[in-house]
Amino acid sequence: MTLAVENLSVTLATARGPLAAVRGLSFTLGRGESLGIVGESGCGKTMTALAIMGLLPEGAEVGGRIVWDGQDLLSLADDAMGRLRGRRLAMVFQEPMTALNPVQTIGDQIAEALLVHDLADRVGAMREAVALLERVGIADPERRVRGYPHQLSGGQRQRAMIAMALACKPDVLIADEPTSALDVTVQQQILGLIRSLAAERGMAMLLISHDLAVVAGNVARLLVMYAGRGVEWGETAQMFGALAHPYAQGLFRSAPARALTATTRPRRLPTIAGQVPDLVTLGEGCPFAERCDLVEEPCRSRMPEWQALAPEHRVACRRAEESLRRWKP
Amino acid sequence: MTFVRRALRHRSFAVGAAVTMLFAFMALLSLVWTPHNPTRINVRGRLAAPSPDHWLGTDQFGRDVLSIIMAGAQNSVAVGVVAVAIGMVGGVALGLLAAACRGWIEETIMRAADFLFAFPAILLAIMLVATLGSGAVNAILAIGIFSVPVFARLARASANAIWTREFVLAARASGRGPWRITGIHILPNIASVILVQATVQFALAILAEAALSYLGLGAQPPTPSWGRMLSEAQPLIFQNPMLAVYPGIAIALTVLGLNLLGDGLRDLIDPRLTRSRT
Amino acid sequence: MTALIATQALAKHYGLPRDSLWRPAPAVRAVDGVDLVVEEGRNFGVVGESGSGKSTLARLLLALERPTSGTVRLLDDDLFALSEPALRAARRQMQIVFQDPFGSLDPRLTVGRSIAEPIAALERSSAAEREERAVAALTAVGLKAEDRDKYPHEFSGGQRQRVAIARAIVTRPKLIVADEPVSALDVSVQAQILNLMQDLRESHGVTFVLISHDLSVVRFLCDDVAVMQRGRIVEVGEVERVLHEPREAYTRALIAAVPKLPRF
Repeated sequence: MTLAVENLSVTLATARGPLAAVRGLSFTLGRGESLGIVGESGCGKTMTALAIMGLLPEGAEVGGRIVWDGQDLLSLADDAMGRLRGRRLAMVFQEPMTALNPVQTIGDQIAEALLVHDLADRVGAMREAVALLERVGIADPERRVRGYPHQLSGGQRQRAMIAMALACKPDVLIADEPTSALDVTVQQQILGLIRSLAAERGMAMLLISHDLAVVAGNVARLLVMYAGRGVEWGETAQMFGALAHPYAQGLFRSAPARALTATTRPRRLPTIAGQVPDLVTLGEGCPFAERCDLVEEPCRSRMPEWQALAPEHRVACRRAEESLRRWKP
Repeated sequence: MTFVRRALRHRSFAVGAAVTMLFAFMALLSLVWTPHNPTRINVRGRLAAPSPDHWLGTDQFGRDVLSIIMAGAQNSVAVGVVAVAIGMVGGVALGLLAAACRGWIEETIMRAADFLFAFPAILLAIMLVATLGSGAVNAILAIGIFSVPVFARLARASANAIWTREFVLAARASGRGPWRITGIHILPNIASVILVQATVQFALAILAEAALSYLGLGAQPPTPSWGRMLSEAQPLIFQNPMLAVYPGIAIALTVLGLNLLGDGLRDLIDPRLTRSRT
Repeated sequence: MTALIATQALAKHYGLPRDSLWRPAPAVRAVDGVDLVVEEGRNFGVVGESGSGKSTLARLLLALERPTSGTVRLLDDDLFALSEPALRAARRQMQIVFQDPFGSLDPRLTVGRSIAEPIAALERSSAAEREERAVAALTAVGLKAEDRDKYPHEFSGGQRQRVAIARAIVTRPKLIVADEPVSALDVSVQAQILNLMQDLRESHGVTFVLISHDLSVVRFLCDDVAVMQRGRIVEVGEVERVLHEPREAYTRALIAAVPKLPRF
């Protein structure tokens, strides 16, 4: 069962006119595979996740196809999508405090997913909830299952969210910035937990983050997005060895995390010149053209074709060769 | 511009604003023109049926009903404006003071507000008018005073929320004192909530005035008033029910219009505040 | 080297609701006996996890809250022994930058007015003078003079953080306490803001106290660092020394937890 996103576009209505949040995005995610989507706020990574889950905000226009298990999720009726959501496709959000209902016990919230999809009776669901809490590493699950979200720490809440997402043994798990609200020490544990659970259950995992460093060690493949477009895709280690898109290079170089591992302390951090473009007025050309030092005239008028740099590494850049030549991380 | 367009598209706001403006216009118009003198008694033309000359007929003293309704709107608007002004200025000032000072000052103000709150509003107004004496001015005072705690509570709760925001902390770190912070940061940020409450209180004030006048504690004859029209129509309720229906409709429509306006305002103002985050 | 700001046995306890009528109400020791010295010209980092008391420490340093016990000295002044006007005057030397660039600017003021607020609060000044200095601060943080008439919602997160920094430097303070100044921003924008802070240190002679959970940010910007855990400082020293030869197990755990990019 492969999740295939084909030429996905998401357009939001704003007071200033249509905003192209995602344009012509394609990728596949096979059973048991993991893909990280990296990009800054507004690059369309969250809209992509919401499109897959069928949870786009009202008024959003979707184009293209999202094929899963032989059916196009975008053309499914609401109730059919509802049966898939939570059952086969599950999602973990960034802010566990707002994603959990404060007046319902943790156990009830986990059990609800099972009851909604008729996968267990009341007693069985509660027993399963305890087992799940134990699996996600919450101590004393028999007591916690009767507790409320505010009685848990941030990290434990995120663990509970993961338990909820896993309740129905989904085939695809989407995690959108799952650790951005957490302390660094907890961050690694949560990412490790998600990764090992995905491996253990053969789940496909889509990990979304603005931080390359968070994604890098936890996914097999990486997709870099910029201003609604995918710009570089590849197998993680291979890609870091030969990062080709000027934006991806800039994103990597500007990461403050590099200041920690550098042998001497840097005086300045490299930055990407300019600003993220306005998605309402952005034209058909490469969205990074205005900020790119290798820009050529055709870049401004047409989106570059994807070209393969290796069997597992593709980039959408006309100047990829020149760009690649200067890549010394 | 976009706010105006959004406002016109919002149905309850548009309807509420139209009804409210209609009554405000009626009140203004009646200052310079009414079809007949609303206080002139005409014994021969008593209880006349609607006619081209008297659109809504005449009452038991031969006065033109439409004219009294128009002139009565004056009274309602005046009571509403003055009473809400009293309640808003007093209540918001106390609420802001409570939020800025905390400690025992806050406790004193809020417990006093609770004390006033514990009485049914109209009973409180009757008590006040009974001690101060009846009459339009005292009725306005009484209605104004009973809306003070409403504004005080709302202002304090909203102000407390703003006080915890980081830009207020930044202002404190800059050396701003509590009064300047209140003026520059707190009041402008709670103004919209207060405005919505003011429209609701306006409606309540009109109702309260009608009730006081009905009981003979509000506007005194011959000042035209919707509440007194109701009480004067009461003995004739079976003989001539329309005399009670007209002022009833006027009161109901005005109150409905103001409430719609308030609801609309709430919708129009709130999303702008919450949307700034996304 | 002179001590710019120093604390002695600084503590802040918050009372919690009682859980029993008979026992005294429990208290949280958010800051529990902190001694630290920030030297003028040496940026000082405070790292720790959420709940370690580092944000409370920031507010105590700026005299935004009163400590339960202990002192904070800014240059020669004991902040909590000063009279109200004297404290106000001392505030000219210290400013704050917050984490959330959305919440730290009044949505109803133009950014020009927000930036000028510390001058208006602390000094006698004409409107023209305030405007001139606000514009100077705006350009110092890399924004345009025209931006002064805009409202916060017209800016991106990174630009808003620049505005917040402009407000902090407008009185030319010696000390800026920055509480997680980049953790709410996109990674690529973080680099721009960190560079800006680095520049201001040189151009404006500001010393930063940087409160952060992120060791890479602290290494980039700070000379000294204190590691906080449960209201106490468990390790303090020069950044390079603490990073390369951490003495405490907790410090080692913090360093190990930072997500790392592959090295080649």
